[in-house]
Amino acid sequence: MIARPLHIAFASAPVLATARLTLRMPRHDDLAHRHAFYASDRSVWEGGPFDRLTTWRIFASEVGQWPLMGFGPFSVDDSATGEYLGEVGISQPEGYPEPELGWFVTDAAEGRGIATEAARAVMVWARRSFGWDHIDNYIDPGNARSIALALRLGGTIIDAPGVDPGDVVIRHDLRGLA
Amino acid sequence: MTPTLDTPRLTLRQMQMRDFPAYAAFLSSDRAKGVGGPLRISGAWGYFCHDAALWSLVGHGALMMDLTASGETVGCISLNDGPLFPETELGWMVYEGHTQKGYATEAAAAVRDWAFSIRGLETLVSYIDADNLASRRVATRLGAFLDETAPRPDPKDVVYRHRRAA
Repeated sequence: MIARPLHIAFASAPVLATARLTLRMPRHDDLAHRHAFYASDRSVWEGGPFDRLTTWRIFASEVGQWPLMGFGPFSVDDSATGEYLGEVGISQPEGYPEPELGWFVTDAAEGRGIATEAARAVMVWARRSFGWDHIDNYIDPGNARSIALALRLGGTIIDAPGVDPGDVVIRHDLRGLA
Repeated sequence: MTPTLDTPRLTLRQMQMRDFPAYAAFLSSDRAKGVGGPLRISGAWGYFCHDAALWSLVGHGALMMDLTASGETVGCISLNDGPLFPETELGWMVYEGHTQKGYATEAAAAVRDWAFSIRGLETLVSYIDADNLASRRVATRLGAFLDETAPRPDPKDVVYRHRRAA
C-alpha cells in the first residue's frame, strides 16, 4: 500500500516543467475550463455531465487536498502560449483505497500526448517526493481512451479494488523513476 | 497564505487531515441542519476539502478553533466563498460539548477583524437558519444587523450583515 505523506511538504503545487508543458497550482479562473468539460458529454466517465455548482464542488474539493495532504491536482498550461490544456494530478478523496493518478484535458488538447507528458512528470515528482513504489488509476471500464493512455504510459491492469464496482485498476511501477 | 489568529482563549489555525473525524461527526449530526446537513461522510469530505481549498482559490477560507490552553479542537470558523454563497460569508460551527461558552463569538470577531483590516474585504454576511437561535445570538453579539433584502442561499435563512469598524 502507498499512503498519504505524514508531513505536508507541498501545501500547494510546485511548478513542474516538461518539454512542452508547465504544471502549476490550480487557480480560480481555471474553473471555467472545468465547467466546459463537465457540461459536455466527455465527462460521462467521470460521472457527469454536472451543473456549475457541482463542478465547483468537485474542483474545490480536489484543490483542497494540497493543504490537507500535500498532493493534489496540477493545472497544465502550454509553456509557449500559456493556454490551459487540462489537469493532471493525484487525488485521494474519502473512500479511495490509495492516492490515485488522474487526468483530464480540454477538447483542444486531445490527441497531442498532453496527458501522457504531464502524467509522466507527476509520477516522477511523486516518486521523488514521497518514495511511492507505484501509483494506480481507477478508470470506468467504458472509458477506452483513458485506459489506452494508462497502458501507453506503461501501466498494467491489476486485480485490485477501485472505487466504483467494475473500475479498471491500472498500476504504474514508479521504482524505475528517479 | 493561511494565517494563525490568537484570541484570549483560542488559537485559530489551518485545517489538517486529523481534523476530519470531528468535522464529519458534526456535519453528520442533527446540529448540522442549519448548514445543509446532516450529511453522509462523502458530503462531509466535500465540505472539508472545499473549506481548505478556499485559501488558495480566493485568499480566505476556514480555520479550526483550538483551545489554546489544552490544544483541544472545539469547532471551525470560516470565511465561505465561491458560487455556493451569494457573498463572502462568516460562518461557524462549534462541536458538541463546547457550545454556550462564547467560542463562536470570540473566533468570529477575530476572523471578521482580520477579514476587514488585513484581507481588505468590504463587507461580510452570515447566513443562519431562522430557527437557529444560538447562532443568531452569536451574530447579534458580534454587532451584526439583520439585512432583510440581501440574497440568501436558502429561503429559510436570515442574513446578518457585519459592520466594518469605523
